[in-house]
Amino acid sequence: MTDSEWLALVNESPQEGYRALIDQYGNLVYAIVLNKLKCIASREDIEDCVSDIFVEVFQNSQSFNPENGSLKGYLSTIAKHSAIDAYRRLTKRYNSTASIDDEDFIMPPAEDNPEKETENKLIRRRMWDIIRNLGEPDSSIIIRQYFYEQTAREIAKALSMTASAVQKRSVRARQKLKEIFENELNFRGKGDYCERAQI
Amino acid sequence: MITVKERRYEFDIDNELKQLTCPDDQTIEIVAEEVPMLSDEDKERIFKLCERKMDMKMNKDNKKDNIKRTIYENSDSVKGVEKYNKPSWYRPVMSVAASLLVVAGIGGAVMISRQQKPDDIITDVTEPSTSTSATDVVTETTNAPTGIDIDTLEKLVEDNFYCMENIFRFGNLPFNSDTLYYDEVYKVESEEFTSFEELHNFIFSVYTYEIADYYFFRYPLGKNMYTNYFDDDSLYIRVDSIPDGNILDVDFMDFEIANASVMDGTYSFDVLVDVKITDTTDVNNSIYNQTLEGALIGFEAKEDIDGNLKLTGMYGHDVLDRFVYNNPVEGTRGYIENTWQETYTELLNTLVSYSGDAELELKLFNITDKEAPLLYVYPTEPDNDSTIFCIMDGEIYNLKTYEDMLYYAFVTADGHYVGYNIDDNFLSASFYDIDGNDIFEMESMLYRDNTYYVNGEEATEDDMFEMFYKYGISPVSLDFTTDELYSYLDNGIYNNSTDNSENNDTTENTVITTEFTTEITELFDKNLQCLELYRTNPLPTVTEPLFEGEEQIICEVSSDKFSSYDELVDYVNSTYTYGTAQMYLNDFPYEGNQLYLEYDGKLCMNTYYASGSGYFVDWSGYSLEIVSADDTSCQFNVTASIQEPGDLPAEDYTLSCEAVITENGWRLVRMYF
Repeated sequence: MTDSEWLALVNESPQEGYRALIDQYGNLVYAIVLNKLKCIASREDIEDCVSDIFVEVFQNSQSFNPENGSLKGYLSTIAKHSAIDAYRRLTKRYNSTASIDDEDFIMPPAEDNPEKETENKLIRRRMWDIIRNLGEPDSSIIIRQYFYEQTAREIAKALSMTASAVQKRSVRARQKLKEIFENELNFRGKGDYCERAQI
Repeated sequence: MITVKERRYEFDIDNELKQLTCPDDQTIEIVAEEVPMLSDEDKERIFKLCERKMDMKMNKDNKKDNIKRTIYENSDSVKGVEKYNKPSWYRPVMSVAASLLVVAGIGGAVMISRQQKPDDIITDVTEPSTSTSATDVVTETTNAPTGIDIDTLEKLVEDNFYCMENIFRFGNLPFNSDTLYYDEVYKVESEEFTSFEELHNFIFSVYTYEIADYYFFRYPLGKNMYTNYFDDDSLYIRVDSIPDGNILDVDFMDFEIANASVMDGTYSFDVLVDVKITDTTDVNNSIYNQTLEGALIGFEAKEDIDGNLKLTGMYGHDVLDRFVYNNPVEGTRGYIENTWQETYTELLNTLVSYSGDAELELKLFNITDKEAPLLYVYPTEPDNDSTIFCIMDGEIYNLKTYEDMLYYAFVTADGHYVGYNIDDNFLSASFYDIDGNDIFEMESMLYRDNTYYVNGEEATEDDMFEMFYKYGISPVSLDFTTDELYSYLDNGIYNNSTDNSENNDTTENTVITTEFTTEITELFDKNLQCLELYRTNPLPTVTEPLFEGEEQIICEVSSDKFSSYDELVDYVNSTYTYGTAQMYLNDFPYEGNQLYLEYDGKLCMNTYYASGSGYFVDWSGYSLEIVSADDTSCQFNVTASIQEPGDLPAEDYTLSCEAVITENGWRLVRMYF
């Protein structure tokens, strides 16, 4: 569904339009929020934030203009900012950081060390590449288990497998990842990731 | 030249994965698209939550509120989102990583749930039961002795099925995947067995000593699957013995015992059981998801010295095999364990029954020593089209279309794959390289009317075999009638039906001389040497490696058995046919890997793959008998002695072997052991 089609749908039937938006972008918004909040928020908190984002978009749907940018971009931006705000809110609630300065609250420590932050980012990017290259269903299992933090039963239900099969594949996939990473680290050296960044 | 690293980084994969986040927006988008988290129910729930919030917002229209909107155009400033009052039932819960993946057995309960115990258990069989209900225990024989305790038999059967489903074979006890010790063991977390001793006592209470000893201490890899790793009586499971995710899962359900009898202290009885088969990769739609009703399994039990009845085997594991053999459904795969000859024989049985009176047209393509050939069949059923079966990596595929062949029939270690085209009576092979989503044809070869063609141009046999070897396939194809194929699968002998009588005469007239027998015996001796080289007792090596890399620890061989790598190559080539020799020299133990190789001009071994497996056959003093021989091949039997562990007596061990004549003399068609 194009952005214009969505606007037309919303004008014709708001409820159907809102449902269609969640259907099309729900996973993206959820992933953006989860990526920011996963270490600090429960699943309910994350869904709460996701629903806030969609409510925000629903309420401003009349003022959205496709000529100014895509709906996807608009949603993603709101999602990122909402997630950051939620992060602040939750860190204050759970008192999990020591800093009293709000700006420092949201800054990861690695920003003080750009090289290390770049290196970590490259390593994480490489990790994702390797996970995705595991092939199905192993890559889905690992992503669901460690990024989405789903249980074996939830993963099994999503992938139409048994929980036992999911667990075994997870064990083997992790062994494989460990071997690949150890070989890469020993072959390249961690510094190579930074060298690549400079190219 | 690669620099050998002296220090290896250890990568804590579990810790890294627990902190897994996306490094950038692009990754988030990809992940959201490829692995969508939200189910339809989740989306509906979020929608309902949105509706509630919007209703609440509308109710606040006339109130002053603190809403600030995110400005799309100026996104460098972060604004607060609208605040609302959470419903009173909402209780935020701190997120906890799902680190404990405790898995219950597919069977569910500790013991197989069974039907209500019938009131009329027959132990004294003087009159047969008239009931045919599945809940009844029926002993159909009228001459079964009295005193057979059916309760005891039922308990043994239940325990046996429990072992099959949840401990060995089709499953394993649940474990905590976060408790990995030294990359070797996980801690078992089972409600039924909380200690090593408890599991040990259970297994030894069900099975005779030899069987229990085997399963508890040497299954499946020659060392115990379950262990008290830290000598603390806790129970652990070895990582490398966890079943490799059998595609088909088995659940033994309602059963009944029949035909119970006892003779000389041995109890024999049949168990009729319903078996639920589940495809673990598709629990909803797979055609394998079904229940076999009334599968028949023969059981046997004996009394030990204390008078306790125990099973003499773990029964029921072949139910799955039989199911798969009888279900070669089009477009699906089946899990097999036996040799390809046995698999195709079973398949042929099924095809014959399907085809009725129609004569089958059968061909085998790609006949090599390395792997199963393709089986072409026409018709598969009356008025049906032809089809092709292919066995790869222990699974049988039913290929219906040319596209299926391209997808499944891959060979080679360097990224190419081979597609077969079967047209009339020739085989052509096209080689494809995959570069992203692009597939282009690289080379093609053809064998037609005894002429070879490579990329459309006539080629020599050497050119052809060089290419075949390069890509690991063979142009050899044979036609069969049904009986001929049965014979070929049984003994490897191919007789063209039009020359049948002449071939038989040739075989009968061959004189087996002492010199010939000696020659074959010497050939078999070389086989035993190669068996040691590659399987049971690899050559010793210098400790310090010459080179270390990915799956490579290259060490110089310290034995003077072979003065050089070339000498070893000559030895192997002089023992086996070309295909078999090349397999051991270049694709053993895995495709593309060499166990022995030349490095820096020295004979070396990749000790990463070296292993001396347990082997119970004693070849000293073996006897060899030539069964038949002609100008091209020789069949012979070799008898040695085998003694399985557990104080079992030694028994005769006989192999049926074949040697064929090549341009360089007699060679064995495969390694015998």
